[in-house]
Amino acid sequence: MKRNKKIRWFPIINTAILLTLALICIIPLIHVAAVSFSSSAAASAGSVSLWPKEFTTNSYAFVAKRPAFWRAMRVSIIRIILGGGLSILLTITAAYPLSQPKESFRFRTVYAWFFFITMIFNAGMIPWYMVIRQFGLLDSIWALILPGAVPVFSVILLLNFFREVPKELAEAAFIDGAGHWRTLLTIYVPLSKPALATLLLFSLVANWNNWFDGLILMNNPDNYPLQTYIQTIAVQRSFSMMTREEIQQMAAISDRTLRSAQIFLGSLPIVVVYPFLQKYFVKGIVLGGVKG
Amino acid sequence: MEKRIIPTGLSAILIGGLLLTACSSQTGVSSTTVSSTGETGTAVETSNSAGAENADPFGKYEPSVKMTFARTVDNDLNDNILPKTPGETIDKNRWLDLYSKDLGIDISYAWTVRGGLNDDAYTQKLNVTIASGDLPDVLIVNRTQLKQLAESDMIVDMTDYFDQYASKLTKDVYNSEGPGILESATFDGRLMAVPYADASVESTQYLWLRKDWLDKLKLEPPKTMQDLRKIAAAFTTLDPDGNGKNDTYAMAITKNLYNGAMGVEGFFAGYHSYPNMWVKKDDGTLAWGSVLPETKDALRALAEMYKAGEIDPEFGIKDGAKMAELVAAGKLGIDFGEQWNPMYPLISNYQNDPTADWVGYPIVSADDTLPKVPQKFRTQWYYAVRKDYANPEAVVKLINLHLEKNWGENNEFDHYYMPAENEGKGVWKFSPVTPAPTNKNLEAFNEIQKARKLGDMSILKGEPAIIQKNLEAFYAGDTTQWGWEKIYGPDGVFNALNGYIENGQVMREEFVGAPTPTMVDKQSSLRTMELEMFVRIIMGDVPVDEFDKFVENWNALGGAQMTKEVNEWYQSVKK
Repeated sequence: MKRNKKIRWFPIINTAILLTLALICIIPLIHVAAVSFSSSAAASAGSVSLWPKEFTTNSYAFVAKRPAFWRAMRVSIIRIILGGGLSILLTITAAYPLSQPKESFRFRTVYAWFFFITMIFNAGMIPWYMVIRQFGLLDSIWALILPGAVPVFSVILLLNFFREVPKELAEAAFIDGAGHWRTLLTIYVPLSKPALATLLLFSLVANWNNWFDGLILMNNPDNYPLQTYIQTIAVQRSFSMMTREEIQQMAAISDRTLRSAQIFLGSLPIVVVYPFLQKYFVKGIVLGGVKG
Repeated sequence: MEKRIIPTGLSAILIGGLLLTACSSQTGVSSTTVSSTGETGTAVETSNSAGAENADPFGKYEPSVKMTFARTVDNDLNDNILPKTPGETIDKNRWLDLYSKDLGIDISYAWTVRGGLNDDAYTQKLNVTIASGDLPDVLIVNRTQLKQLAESDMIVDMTDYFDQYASKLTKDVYNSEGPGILESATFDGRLMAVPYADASVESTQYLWLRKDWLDKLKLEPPKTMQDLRKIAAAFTTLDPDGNGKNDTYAMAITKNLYNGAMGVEGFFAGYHSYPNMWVKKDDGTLAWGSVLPETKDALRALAEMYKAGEIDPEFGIKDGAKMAELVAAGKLGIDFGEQWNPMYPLISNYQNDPTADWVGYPIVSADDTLPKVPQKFRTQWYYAVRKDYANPEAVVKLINLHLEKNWGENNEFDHYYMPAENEGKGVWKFSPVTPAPTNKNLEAFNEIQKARKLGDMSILKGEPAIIQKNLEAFYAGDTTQWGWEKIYGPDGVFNALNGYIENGQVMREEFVGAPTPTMVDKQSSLRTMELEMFVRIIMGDVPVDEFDKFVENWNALGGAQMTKEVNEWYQSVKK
């Protein structure tokens, strides 16, 4: 009896802690949504918490008519499609040779170090910018995609995943006459679906959320991805050096409800995609080998 | 064997190729170090003689010359102006056409960035541009960047070009605040860039009060600091909003203390203390206002007010936007700030509660001498010209024409500044150079006052006419124009500015040079220390006498050295 009672405490506390954590994550989002559906007077007085006050969809109507927002949304969607696809392709093709035994790929260690070093050392912003400029990528969508196209962390994750695939499977394929490409595509890739889904999710989220590179690498605001655009409208300014013109525009334009509406819309796509990929998430990180 | 070589080789090539792109996207770390890369080797001889004999401030280039800029596109331009000017874009508009047609200068942009000059976006983008050495012909930089560019010899010495090519109007505008504006871009006696002249008068502090609360509590507008302290007590304890709850504070201040709205500088000035700026002492030397003894009196007064509940007990963690929420909610009745305060945040109070009636008064003094009104030096941007650009004087010509078309004898204000046909939007922002006469807002107010006295509004032209239109819109019921009435109406806040000027109360910031070496190293930590200490003193966390220890520490931690350097600069420009 006594022991039974003790055991029951664990799920309760566990659930409570997890619930708290989940709430901490979701409340800011709900707050932003609530502000976006409130009247701007209520929002500027700070009286909106988790439920809209004086419900209105004005700010969404305004956003709908704002070409800059949709242009940025388009750039971001192109970015995640190209960026996500390319990074998965390159991660697979880089991880496969590196997962091979030394006997079949003699310079494996050297190449592995080449990759690994980029994880530890970072050249910094200026060289990064200059390299991209020299390649003539500034102001094009490729400036956002190519520099981050090979996430080394993902390569290492995937190559370890590949190594866990029993050698016998690959050997059997080779005996049946399959080459490396075929083995990779018909044996390794299907077996690694959970891992690949996870990596895809990483890549999508990283591509969607990154705002800084858009700011530095785009020479024309029309090419900003969504998060860069949102950053330019959402940052808080200090009042110490503002002129009247700036103040006026701030009062008129960067209205809180409007910002909230755009921030909310901006986070929506990832929130929608997440649950579909999440089922692979745990499997991808934890599982190894051929249990699937 | 064959089978093994091909895939191995293939992957080797693949991996080799990938190395170029593998430097992962760790870009969050922003190193803003500006290094000079040596792409400036081909310095053209400074052509002093080039146009000296025939320097026409408005002369046209034949054939035309090209000029590249980098610019910001702020929300106003993007959301207000562009939609009202069909057919015009950032790259093709009336201003660029004008420069091309009248001066033969074809302007294009190397890059544009969203936001204002003060935004992080512009700073970041500018820093990588400078570091990469690939400069556009003209750059808009701040004083620190200007100093770095000048020291690494990447920009043209503009001294002679400005002397020869600036028009009379341009020279008048640039000298309207004394030598300060030009001095701020002068290094070793040479003018290294043309300043973007900005009006220091705009930083003048006023006392904004809820007039409706005063009336309700049967109080007079304050004449002295003692009156103001009584008003603060009444606003806190006598339930001015009449909701039966003790839920109001008196004064809006933020954790940053020094602000254009909800700041403390106007309050401190009442105790003859001028923090956060370099002031001239009686002995003729410069000193940092925050560490002078008068500051202690002002801090003591604020600490008393805090203790009496006249200041939001949580102000120490609230920034401007947070405190503005309290204003909007009608919990505050006293605000020290600049003339634009009714545009933000005070209007949000009015929009929630139409009885809220904020009026701007002159600041008050704790003794029988009138308070000096501190004016911060506002010119902070500079048009710097790339070293090997062939026609540096062209930028001076742009400025000449910009001023001439908007404020000159035969101005076309109604086409180039705020045209009525574009609903009075500020199309002047299309121009890459945008200096303005420093007193234009006050002059506009005085002209409107004159017209009101004459009872004939039709004499107004240019900007005053546009402002008058906003006022009329407000009188006709457009509540969004409320702020204009508070600034330019018959009882507008500029009345107070006229009073300041008549009584000789204006006190200008004395140090306008580039940051000295010690400032670069120490100033930000000294500022943090100052703010922390002042907030703690106000909140009663430490006794007021801690101020003396703070002054000692401040001097020991680099303040004394900084003061010395500032005085050296002062001596160097005074002669």
